[in-house]
Amino acid sequence: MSTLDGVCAVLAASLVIISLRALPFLVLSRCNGEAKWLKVAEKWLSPIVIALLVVYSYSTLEWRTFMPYAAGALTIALQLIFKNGLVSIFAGTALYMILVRLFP
Amino acid sequence: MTRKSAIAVMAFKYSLPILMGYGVMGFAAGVVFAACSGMSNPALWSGFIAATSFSGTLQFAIGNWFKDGWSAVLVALTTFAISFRYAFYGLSLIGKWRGIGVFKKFFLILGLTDENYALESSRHFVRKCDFERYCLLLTSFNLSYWVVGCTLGALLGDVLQIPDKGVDFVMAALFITILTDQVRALFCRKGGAQ
Repeated sequence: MSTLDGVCAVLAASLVIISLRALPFLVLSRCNGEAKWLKVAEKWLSPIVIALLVVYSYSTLEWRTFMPYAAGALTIALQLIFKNGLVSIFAGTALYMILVRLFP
Repeated sequence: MTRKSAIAVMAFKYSLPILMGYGVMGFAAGVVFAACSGMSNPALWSGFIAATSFSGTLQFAIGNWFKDGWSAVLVALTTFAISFRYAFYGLSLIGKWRGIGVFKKFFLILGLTDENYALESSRHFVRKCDFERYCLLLTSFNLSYWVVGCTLGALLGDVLQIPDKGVDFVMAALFITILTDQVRALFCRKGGAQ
């Protein structure tokens, strides 16, 4: 691929991604930030999307084995007990890294 | 510690799991790009793509598109299909980002990845300017991790092997902790117990 074609391809991809990310701000720019439906969306959309992201991220792991679920359970338990995101994330990841090496 | 530095420390602290995830994933994406794309100066290209698109899915896929000589139109259509979920993220942030200047908002929109969305939509600040500062710093930290990771991967992929097996769980763990906090907050608010 030539440099010009490459630059065009990268800029096209960038334009599409930025446009998609900006879409709600452009379409609803006149919408009052205090609108009731927006408050409902703010409250409920975030946990729903993050739950979907959990499912999506599991699909890239060894999800047919017990390993990501064990690491996920440890992450949740530590988060509920210590309420420290860094501890929960690193402990869960460390357990998963150990498990995938122990049970290849 | 002043309020501004406290927010900077908080943003950096929340960005640490992303440093681990983006650093390793970005490095891997850079390696894939260098191996597949067939471009000279792959590190430059990888960094350029990372800085302008800031998307993991695209970064991993685009090397093969370069190799196959895809047109800009085909790249745009495929990017649209694999990135459509981004169109919903802003809905939770319209109110929170109201009043932020155009250039700052453009930068925040550029940085609206899955991880940034999760870390921004789940945080609540009393003062709006504190939230703005937190989002800007978080986006700056995470974008720099991604660009550096992607560039280094394409540059050093042949000589440096990172033991990354299982590191990909860090992103799942990040989403799990945020979801745990959000579910707990929802139930506590509902019950009024805490």
